[in-house]
Amino acid sequence: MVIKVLGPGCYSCDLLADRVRQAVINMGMEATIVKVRDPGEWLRYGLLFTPGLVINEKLVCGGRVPAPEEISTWLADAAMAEQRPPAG
Amino acid sequence: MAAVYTTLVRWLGGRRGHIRMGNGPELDFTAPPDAHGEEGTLTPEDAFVAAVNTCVHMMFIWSCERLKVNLVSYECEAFGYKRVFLDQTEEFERVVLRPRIVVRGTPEARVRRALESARKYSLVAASVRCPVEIEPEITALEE
Repeated sequence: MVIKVLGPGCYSCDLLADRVRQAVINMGMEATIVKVRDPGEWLRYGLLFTPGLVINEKLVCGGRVPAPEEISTWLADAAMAEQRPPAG
Repeated sequence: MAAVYTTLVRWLGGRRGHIRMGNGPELDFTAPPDAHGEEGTLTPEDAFVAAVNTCVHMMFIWSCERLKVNLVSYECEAFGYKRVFLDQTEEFERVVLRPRIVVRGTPEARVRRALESARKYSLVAASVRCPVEIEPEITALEE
């Protein structure tokens, strides 16, 4: 799983990155967390306000620091979407 | 293209039928005993509750793999609660799953997260009209 934290490196960006890191640890996941500071890249994901959170190339949140519980839900959804069985 | 799942039902006479599942199994079925069916045979009501129970189970196994839950055992009793209306029509008003889960070296919060994902991604649970509630009993063993 690849997780990107989009932002200029401000307090909110760092807080988001910390929350993401903690959620990944809590959920026992293997993930690569990348900070993206290039505004050109932010636009590519349709991000209008920082910080932004991208999980597996999908923008899941922008313009705010989400609660840890929200981050865990997005991570779980992303994990389930990876090689998801067709039914069950 | 969307997946299609099939079954074939054939009347055997009286209140008994035979069903061939799309995936191979075949068995007889009847109505519940309190609706003039026979004891010891599959009923549509059982099949409905079983469909929810088995589907959530399969998705829980999947979510345990995805969320690194070290599952030791899983057993789930399911209850389908029926409501009868004044005009004698009926519906399931809710299905309650009571899984007994034992894990090793896994935080309980992660097990609950896996259950949430299982509930959310279960095709059958997502398709039924009534609420599907999960009331787990989780035992977390030390690593």
